[in-house]
Amino acid sequence: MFNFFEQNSLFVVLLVVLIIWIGLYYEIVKLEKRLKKIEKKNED
Amino acid sequence: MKLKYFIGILFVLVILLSFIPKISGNLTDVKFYSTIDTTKIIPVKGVISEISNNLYKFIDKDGNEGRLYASNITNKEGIFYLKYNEYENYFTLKKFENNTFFITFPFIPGLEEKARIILFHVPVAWVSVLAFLISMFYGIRYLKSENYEFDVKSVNSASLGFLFCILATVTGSIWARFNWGSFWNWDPRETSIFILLLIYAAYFALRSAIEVEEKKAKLSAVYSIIAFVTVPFFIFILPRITSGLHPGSADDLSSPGGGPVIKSGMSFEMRIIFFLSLIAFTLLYFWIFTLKNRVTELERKKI
Repeated sequence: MFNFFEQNSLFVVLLVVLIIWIGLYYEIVKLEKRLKKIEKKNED
Repeated sequence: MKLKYFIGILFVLVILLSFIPKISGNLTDVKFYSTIDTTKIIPVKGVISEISNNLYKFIDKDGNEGRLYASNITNKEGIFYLKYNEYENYFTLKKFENNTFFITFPFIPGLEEKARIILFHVPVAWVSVLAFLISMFYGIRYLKSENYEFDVKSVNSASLGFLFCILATVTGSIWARFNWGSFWNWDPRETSIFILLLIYAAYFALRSAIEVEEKKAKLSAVYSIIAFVTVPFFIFILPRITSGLHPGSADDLSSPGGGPVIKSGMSFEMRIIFFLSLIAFTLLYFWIFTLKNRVTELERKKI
């Protein structure tokens, strides 16, 4: 695994970009959950 | 045009522009054995030429000459980089290539393709500082007006800043694994961002510990101001006055006396893309920040 990234270091860049986007995605999923709660309360 | 579409287009542009340009100085790996003293500077930039069958002459940029035995060198003329591969115990030659795309990134010895990480790693770290600044700004406004809205904004900004701070740490630690050998090296900047994470983790612990809303808002506003006072010291001052692995530290030869992190080795094109990325991440931060504020506003109205 390490050797693969060592030989193809462009994939290290890809890994970094993916990690940043996963972090932002997590933040948006959390927001969506909060919105859903509000929507549920609205229905009741 | 609406901001969200602009951010989307900007991000597509930044990611494309950071992946498509080639590093000039890529390709043509040739295994060979050298008689040059490569323990001094690796990699060495120089010109290679053939003397006789399988025997080549390598002259580095200081004029030092060396003989090397190699086979299968197809491009004999040009500028090469000599690089010792410690994992497989042989030398590789890297030759400059003509690029088809109109933008190229400079070949930075040791970094090579990984130089592109700076286009994402640094803007993320910058956004976290900005978010902490805005958290302090709304903290001050809360103390002035005692308006609950500002307290909510202060927390939202701090939590986003914390997320970006974690992302900067994680991406930096992956980069460190491939450039400095291990995930964590206790470099001054790594140490200071770790302390910063602890400081802001304490901020959230403080908030969740107090139940009275008014007291919670007041205390956390004061804490966010005190916490931000440490940020310039940890992010801008400490890593520059101590010697470390990050560019811009006190013993960095490319910027004597310590300087901006992005100064070393970035070409004009790369700098433009870097600032595009900086703008994209900043706008993205403001977008998510307003989204969070709207959600908390809705939550408050429902109660």
